[in-house]
This record gives sequence, C-alpha cells and structure tokens, in this order.
Amino acid sequence: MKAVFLIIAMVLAFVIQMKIRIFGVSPDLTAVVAYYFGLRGGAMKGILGGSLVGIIEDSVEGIILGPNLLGKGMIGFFSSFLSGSLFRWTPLLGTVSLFALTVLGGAAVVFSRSIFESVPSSMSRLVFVLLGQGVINMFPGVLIRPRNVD
Amino acid sequence: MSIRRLFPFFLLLVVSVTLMTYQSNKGRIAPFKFLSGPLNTLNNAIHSLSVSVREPFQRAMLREEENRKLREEVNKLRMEQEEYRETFFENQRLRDILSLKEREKRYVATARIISRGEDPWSNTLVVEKGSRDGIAKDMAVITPIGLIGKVSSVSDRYSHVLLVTDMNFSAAVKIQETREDAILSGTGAGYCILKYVPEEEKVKPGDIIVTSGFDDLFPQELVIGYVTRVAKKGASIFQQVEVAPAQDLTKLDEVVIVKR
Repeated sequence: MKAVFLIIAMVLAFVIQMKIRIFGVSPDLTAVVAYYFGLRGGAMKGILGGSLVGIIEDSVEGIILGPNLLGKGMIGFFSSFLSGSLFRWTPLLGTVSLFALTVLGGAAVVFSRSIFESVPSSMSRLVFVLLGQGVINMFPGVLIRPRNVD
Repeated sequence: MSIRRLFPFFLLLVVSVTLMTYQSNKGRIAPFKFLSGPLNTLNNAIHSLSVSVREPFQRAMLREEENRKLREEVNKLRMEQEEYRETFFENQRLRDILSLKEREKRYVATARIISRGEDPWSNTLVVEKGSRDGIAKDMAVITPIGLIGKVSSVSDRYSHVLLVTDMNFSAAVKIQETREDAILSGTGAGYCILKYVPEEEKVKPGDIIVTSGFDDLFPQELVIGYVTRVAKKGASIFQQVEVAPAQDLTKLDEVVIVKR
C-alpha cells in the first residue's frame, strides 16, 4: 500500500512539475519526494529513494545521467539528519530545511550540468529559479514529519 | 559524524561524478527514457480532461463580454471592410499565385501543445505530434504571427520544441528595414538578443527582426520579434540589442511545423 502511494506520488510529482509554472518557475516536486524518503526512512533509504527519483528525472528530461541523481540523492541523505538526534523537528525547521535542501539539490544539478554538459541558463535566471523552487517547496515541509514525531 | 554514516554519501558522489564524466566523453545513456512516453500520454490525457471541464465554464463566463466586444468589432469592421476589400482581393490573388506552391511544400503538420518541457531550466514545449506525422529534428515551428522555435527532439508521437527565448537557440536573422544581418540568440529569460550588430548600424526600438535563411534551418522572412532596447556596451564594436518575441510564448495553443 505504501509502495503504491509512493509510486503515485512520484508520478504526480513528475506530471505536475511539467504542467505548472508559478511566475515562470516549475516547482521541483521530486525534491519533496526525495526529502520524504530521507526524513521518514533514514540516510540509506533517503539516498536510494532520492537517487532513484533523480535518475528517472535525468532520463525523462533527456539530459546526461547524473545531475539529478546527485541532487536528489543529496536531498534524501541530508534530510535524514532531521529525524536523528542532531535536530528536534518542528514545522518551522521542516519548512526551512525543505527550502534549503531544494536550493542545495537544484544548485548541485546546475553545477553538475555546467561542468559536464552546458550552462543551462543565465546566472540571474538560475538564481531566480532556484530560490523560486525553494519557496514553492517550503509548504509541504510543515506536513512531512519524521517517524519519531508521529 | 561517523565515517560509516557518510560512506553512502561519498559513494553517491563517486557514482554520479563517474557517470557524468563517462557520458561527457562517450555520449548520453538514458535507461528510463521509455518513461517519457507514458508521462507525455498522461499529460495529454490530463490536458484533454482539463480542457473539457474548463471550456463550458469559460464559454459561459466569456459569452456576455464577448458579445459586447463582437458588436463593437462588427461596427468597426464594417467601416474598414469597404476600404480593405479591393486591396485585400488584389493582395490575396498575388500572394496565392506566388506562394501556394512554396507553402504547401514546406508545411509538415499542425500540432497542439500539451505541456511545457520536462526540463525546468529550458524554454521548451511538448507537442502532440512526432515522427509518424513527418516531423523531424530542426524543423521550424511557427504560428500565424511568426517563428517561435525549432523542433529539438522527436519521438514517435511527441516532439519537443526549443523556443526562441531558450539560451541554446540561435538563428540567422535580418533587421527587416535595413537588411542588416545578425545572429539572434535566446537568453533563457523571456527575451532574445541580437549579436554582431556593428556600432555604426542604425537600430531602433520597434525594428522588426526576420529570419534571413542563411543558417539553412529556417525559411526566409519569418518574423521573430521586434527590437525593444538598444545600448552601447563599453568599448565593444557591437551594439547590445534586445528583442522581444513577436508571439506571446505563454499563450500558445497550436503551432505549425514547417520544413526548410
């Protein structure tokens, strides 16, 4: 049941982020899925789930395989720290973390593509899109909680 | 933090960097590319569903406003009609004779836009026709207003269109009035720039930019946009010219694909 829910969430994330643009910015909903994997499942599941989402995203986008694999894998890995003893999860921490991790993951994608492929857009546009995606993604951060808070 | 906990992260770094290095030398590998088709099909279905739900409501809401506008327009058009009738028929006759053969030869397909491209960094569109409709990579994509982009990739049933505003788009163009050649490139930020326009060339806001056909990609004389800003850039011998697309790229429903 949980696996079906995750598959549906992944498909919806891909479809919605292809359809929607807010002020010209496509939301990075797959980052939220990777965040969910890490926050709920820990470091290993986070990194594996995030990498799976990322590698599919790379293939679907038609770019080289790796930038999203790295970016989403990083989000999955780092989000696992929020459920450990290092932080005490609060809705505000969730919101800020999801913003920061979305920007971090996006920056990893842009950085990788700039090195191994080509610079995907102008610098001002990249910064605008990265911050925009972070802001759009902040809101699910209130709802997605670690297991130990349920 | 223990090394053991960081090990998966280092592994991720090594695997992804190795993959990207390999592909930058040997070309792309895409094991899940097959998922692109079902995703586009799903998008197409959602698009059709949302259109069928939205349209009756939109029609009802717009009807009253539309009627008022139409009445005004009918009065205006009646006045203009007589004036233009003679010119129109003469123009149409000449144009039909001259361009009919060329037009039919270039036309490939008319396609509905089903979504924005999957890559959030690019300015691309997905259209619901592909190689089985005769579409091939690098064909020009136009609307009645002018050129909006080119086909960047094609699958059996879908094609991706790279818009003129994308950073990776370039076309050989002319300034319509002065016939000065230039290269038009996208910026990724909703407008384009003209490259290699000499400082002494007189360019002014409002000048229309058309394709020159020198790049062997696009037919000649397709309108792309108009100059919005001209500036001198330091000691450069070229001017900095910004061009806005003639067609509003956020309000597209259908496009026409033509070959060179």
